[in-house]
Amino acid sequence: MGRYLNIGSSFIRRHYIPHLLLTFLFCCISGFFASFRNLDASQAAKVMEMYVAFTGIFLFTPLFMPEQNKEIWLLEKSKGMDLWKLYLIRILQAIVLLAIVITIFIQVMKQGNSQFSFEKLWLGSFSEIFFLGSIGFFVSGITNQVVLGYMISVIYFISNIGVSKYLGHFALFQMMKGSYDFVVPMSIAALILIVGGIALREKINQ
Amino acid sequence: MFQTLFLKESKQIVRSIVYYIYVVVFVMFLSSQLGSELTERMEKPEPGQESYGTINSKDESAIMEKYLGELVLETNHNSYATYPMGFIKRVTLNNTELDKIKSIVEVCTGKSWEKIIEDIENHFQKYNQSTMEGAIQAQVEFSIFPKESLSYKEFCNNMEQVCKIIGAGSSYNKEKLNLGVGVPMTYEQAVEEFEAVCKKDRITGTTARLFCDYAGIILSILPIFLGVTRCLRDKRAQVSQVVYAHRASAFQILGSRYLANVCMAFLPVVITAFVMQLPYQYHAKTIGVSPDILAFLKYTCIWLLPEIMIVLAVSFFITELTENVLAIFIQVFWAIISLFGSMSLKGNFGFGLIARWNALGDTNEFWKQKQEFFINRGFYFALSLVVFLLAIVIYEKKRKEGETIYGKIFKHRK
Repeated sequence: MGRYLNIGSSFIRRHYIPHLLLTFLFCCISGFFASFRNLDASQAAKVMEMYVAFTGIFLFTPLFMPEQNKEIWLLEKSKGMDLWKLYLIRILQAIVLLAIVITIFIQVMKQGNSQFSFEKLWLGSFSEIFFLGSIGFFVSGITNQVVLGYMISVIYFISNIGVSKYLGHFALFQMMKGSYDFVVPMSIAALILIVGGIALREKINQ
Repeated sequence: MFQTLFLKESKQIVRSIVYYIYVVVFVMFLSSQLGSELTERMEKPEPGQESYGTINSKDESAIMEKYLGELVLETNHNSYATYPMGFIKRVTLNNTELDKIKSIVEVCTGKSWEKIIEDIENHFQKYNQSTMEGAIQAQVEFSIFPKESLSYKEFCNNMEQVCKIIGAGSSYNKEKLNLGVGVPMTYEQAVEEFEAVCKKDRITGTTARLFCDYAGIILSILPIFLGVTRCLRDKRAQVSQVVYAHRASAFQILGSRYLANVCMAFLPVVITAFVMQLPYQYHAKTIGVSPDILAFLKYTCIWLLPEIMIVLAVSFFITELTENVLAIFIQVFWAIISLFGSMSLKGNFGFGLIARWNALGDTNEFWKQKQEFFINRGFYFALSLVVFLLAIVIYEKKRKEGETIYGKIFKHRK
C-alpha cells in the first residue's frame, strides 16, 4: 500500500501539480462566469455542463504526461510493477479529485438557495465530466501526444454546441434539457475509453 | 538557409496528424455553417413582401420597445444575461429583487405585471414554437411599448436601477443601449441595401464576410494546437540541444517555423474560401452583377490572417517560455471570452480577437465600420509580430543559458 501511495504522491509532485493548480485557479475564478444563487435544476445543470465540465479535461488528459519522455516510459517498463497499475493509481487520483470538485460546486449552489436534486445532479455531472475527460485520456493514451488529447476533447465539447442532436446518449448538455438517461451509457463509455486507452496504448506503442 | 528550414518545417507539418485534424475540423465546421440556400437571400426585393429583414436603428422609441421586451422576457424566466468579465453569466434573482424589477417594468409600461404576462402569451401563441425558426422569430419580434409619457431619459434612469439589481455587466447598461437595436426594414431600405451588395460587395464580398465570420470563430482555437505541437516537438524528440547548437540564428530557426505554421494554417482557409465562393460567383452572373472574384482572397488575408498570426505567435511565445501545454488553456479561454464577450454579432469590433459580422449584407453598415475593423486587424497584425519577436528573445536566451522550467530560465553555464 505504501508503495502505491508513494507512486501517487511522486506523480503529483513531479508532473500533476501544474494541472492541479490550473484546476484550482479555474474553480476560484468561477464566480466571475457563473452565478450560484437561486438556480433551478436546469440552471444548476448549465453551470456544471458548460463550466465545470472543463475540469474533466484538465484532470484526465495529462495523466500520461510523464511518458511523453520516452526514456521515462522505457524505465517504467523495465520495473517490476505492471504499467496498468501505475496508470490506475493516477486515474483513481483524478477520479477522487473530480468527485471533490463536483461536490464543492454542487454544495455551493445548494447553499445559494438553488432548487435541484443533489444526488441526480451529482451523478449526471460526474458521468458527463468523467466521459469528457476520458476522451482526452484515451486520445492522449493511444497517440502518446497530450496535445492531441486536449485538441480532441476541446473539439468534442465545442461540436456539442452545434451537433449534439446527432450524438444520442453521448451528447453533452443533456441535463440542461432535463434528461438524465445518458448517465449509464456515458459512464460505461467512459470506462471503456479508460480501459481501452490503457490496453491499446501499450499495444500500439510497443 | 531560411528557405531550406521553411520547406523542412512545412513538410513536417504536412506529416503531422494534428494538421489533418485541423483541416478536417475546419472544413466540416465551415460547411455545416454555410449552405447553398444563401443565394435565396440575395434576390432583389419586391414590393409587398412579407418581410425584408432587419436593420440597425438608434431610434429612441425603438430602443425602449426592444429593451423593455427583452427585460420582460428575462424577468419572466428569471434569468438575466450579464457580462461581468466579458463572458456571459446568467444571473437568477431572489423574490425581493424580482419584485423590484417587475415594479420598474410596471412604471415604464404603465401596465400591471399580470397584463404584461397576458401580452407575452398572446404574442407567442401567434408563432409555431415547435420549430427553431418560429421560436427565434417570436423572440426577435417581441417588444413592449413604453407608456406614452415616458421620456428616454427616464427610461435610461430606470434601466440603471435594473443594472444595479442584476449586478455587474448587465445588458441594460448605457453602452449597450447606445448600440441600437434591429428593426424591420422598409422596401426602400431593402432596395438600397441590395444595391450596395451589388455595387460595393459585388455579391461575393458579402458571402466572403460571412465566411470570415464563421471561420474566425474556429480559427481562434485550432491554430493553438499546431503552434504548441511544433514548439514541443523538439523537446519530445529530445533534440532541443542539437537544434540549439545549429549554426542558424534563432530568427532563422523560429522564423521559418512560425512562417511555415502560418502558411500551412492559412492554406486550407484560402482553398475553402475559394471553393465556397464559386456558387456565389455563378449566382452573381445570373443576376447580372460582375462578381469580385478576388473577394475570398482579400477578405481572408485582411480578416483571418492576422488572427492566425496572433494565435500562433502567442502559442509560440507561451510554449517557448513554459515548455508545456499551458498555452492551450490560456488561449482557449481567451477565444471563448472573445466569442461570448462580444456585445454584438455584427460589428463593434473594438479590440476583440474574433471579428464578427454574422450577416449576409448590411453592406452600408459594414462600410461605416470599416475603419474600426482595419484598426482591429492592424492591431493584431502588429501585436503578432511583437509577440513573435519576444518568443525569439526567449528562444535565444534558452539557447545561450539553458532550459526553462515553468518559465524560469535555469543557467547551465559554468
